[in-house]
Amino acid sequence: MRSARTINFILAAGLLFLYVPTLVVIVTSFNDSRLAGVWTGFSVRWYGELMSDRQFLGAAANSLIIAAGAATLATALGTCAGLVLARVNRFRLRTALLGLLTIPLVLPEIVTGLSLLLLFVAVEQTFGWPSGRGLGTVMVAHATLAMTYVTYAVQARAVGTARQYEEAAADLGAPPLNVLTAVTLPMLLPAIGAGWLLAFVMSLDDLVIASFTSGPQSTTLPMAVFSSVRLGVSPKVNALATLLVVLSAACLALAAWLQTRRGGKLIPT
Amino acid sequence: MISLTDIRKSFGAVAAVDGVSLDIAPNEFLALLGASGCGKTTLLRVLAGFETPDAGRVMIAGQDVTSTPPHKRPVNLMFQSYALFPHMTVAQNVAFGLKQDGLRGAELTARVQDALALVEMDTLALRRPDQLSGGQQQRVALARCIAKQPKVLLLDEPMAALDRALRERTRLELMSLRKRLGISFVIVTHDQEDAMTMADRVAVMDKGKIVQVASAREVYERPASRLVASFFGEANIWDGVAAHGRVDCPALGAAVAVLSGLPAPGVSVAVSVRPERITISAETLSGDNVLQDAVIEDVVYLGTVTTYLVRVPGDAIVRVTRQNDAHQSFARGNVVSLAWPADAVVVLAA
Repeated sequence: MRSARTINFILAAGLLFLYVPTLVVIVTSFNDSRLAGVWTGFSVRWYGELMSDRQFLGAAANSLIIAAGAATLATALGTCAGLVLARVNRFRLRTALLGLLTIPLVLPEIVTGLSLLLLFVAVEQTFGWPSGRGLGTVMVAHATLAMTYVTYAVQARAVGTARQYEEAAADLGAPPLNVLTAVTLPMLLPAIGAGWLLAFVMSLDDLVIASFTSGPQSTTLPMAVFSSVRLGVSPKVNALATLLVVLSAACLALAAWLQTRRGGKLIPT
Repeated sequence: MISLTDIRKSFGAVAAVDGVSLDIAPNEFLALLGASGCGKTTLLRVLAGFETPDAGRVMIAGQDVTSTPPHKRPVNLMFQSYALFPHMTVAQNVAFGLKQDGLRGAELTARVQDALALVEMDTLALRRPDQLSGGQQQRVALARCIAKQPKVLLLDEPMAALDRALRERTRLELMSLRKRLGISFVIVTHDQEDAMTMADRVAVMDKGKIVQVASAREVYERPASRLVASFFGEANIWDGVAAHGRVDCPALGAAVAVLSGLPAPGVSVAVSVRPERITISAETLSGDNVLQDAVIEDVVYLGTVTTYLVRVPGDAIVRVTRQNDAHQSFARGNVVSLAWPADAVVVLAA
């Protein structure tokens, strides 16, 4: 009894520690006052001001374009990698592929960002493309990192899905490409969708890599927020943060739902 | 229809199929029978094309298909787990294979309808597999296979997930299907009842080899080895030494009279007698083989028959089954005589 209470207390304290700052931002975003510490009444005026701020709106558009593009690219590559890892048990460089996929997760973002910047510059000097940094370079940079999430989501689902469905399809006369499009991919769709959402959120939230790989016309939302905060926190930023929290949470909840639906696994095994 | 020549398939150091040669006639119903791990499922997968044999040749309908991929073979496999596509309806599942053959429109609909009607599942065509019972799923899986009108239908443990009543019904249905379709059936099973009720021939497998291929009756009455005798039905098996016209069995404390199959005197052998061939009586019996002063150790009532476990003077336990009738039964501790004719005895290698 006592230990259960202690554990619940520790859990509650931990959750408070993690989420009180976010709660403060959300509550403050509805504060009428310009000063964070003084509550003068409920208001949505900061949301209104946010909506008329061209700089933030432009950055938000950039972020959404980059996130959608990066997530799509990452999903295409990650689905291939996840399928290969799940269905081909032995091939040369399998261990190398697994390792290379894990590295982006453990590498400091600042290193990833810097190395990608150097790469883009080198490629531009050699091939003349990409000319400068912009939406495209950030998209590619985010896709390389986000691909790992998609790979793991797809691999976990594919390992958990019996191979018999694919064999049954082949037995019924389907050549390999039809097996892939009619059976394998539809059955993996929840994992692919979840992977896309995870990649989307990852790209939306990233500041460091975007700072290295973006150009003057491709400021993302986190970059805009970060630079505006250095000139003093405007309550508009609180409103923006609240919207981002809601969007990210919705994406993650949808991804979790997709992955656990119909016997899927949230955690790769 | 099917001709397998010296098929070998190993997984690592384990030989799953170790030199199997087998011919299956058109319209034949063959049962591959064996304990789990005997290689019967691997052999089936070689037939379907999911495993490429390390050596040997697979011929189907006169064509060498040894290295033909599964989707180009004129056979269909019904999986033990049925493997119905969960994201498709019953009708879409059945249509899948037909679409691969290029069927579209009214013809496709008609063929799907026919196949589902054949297994009495046409009323549930729009359900998803997870809305069906196990027996219904099996029917859909069957319909999905036969819709393709294969030359050979392969069934991997089709009864494993069904309850007893459903099994018997499914067996009858498979037999009537086979009559109507006129195609060959190869069924993998570990259940001797499946083999006995449905199969024209039974191939008993052990350790990757076929140890006997014959009709179910022949396999039952003339098992080729000790393993076949004990796996296919119940058997009393005693070790002994061959003599002239008999086998001396120390465990029975007696010699067993034998009609045929004896090796040279002095060779170690085993004899097998089916429990239902042994007569049990309170009176003294006479005949080829008689054991007196046996004591009933246990009585197992099974409805139509009762099994008696009887200890004989040589200290062996003899299993005897007797048709139940109103007249007579025995109880534990009764002293009885046992007798069986010489033609009930099969001589096996030791």
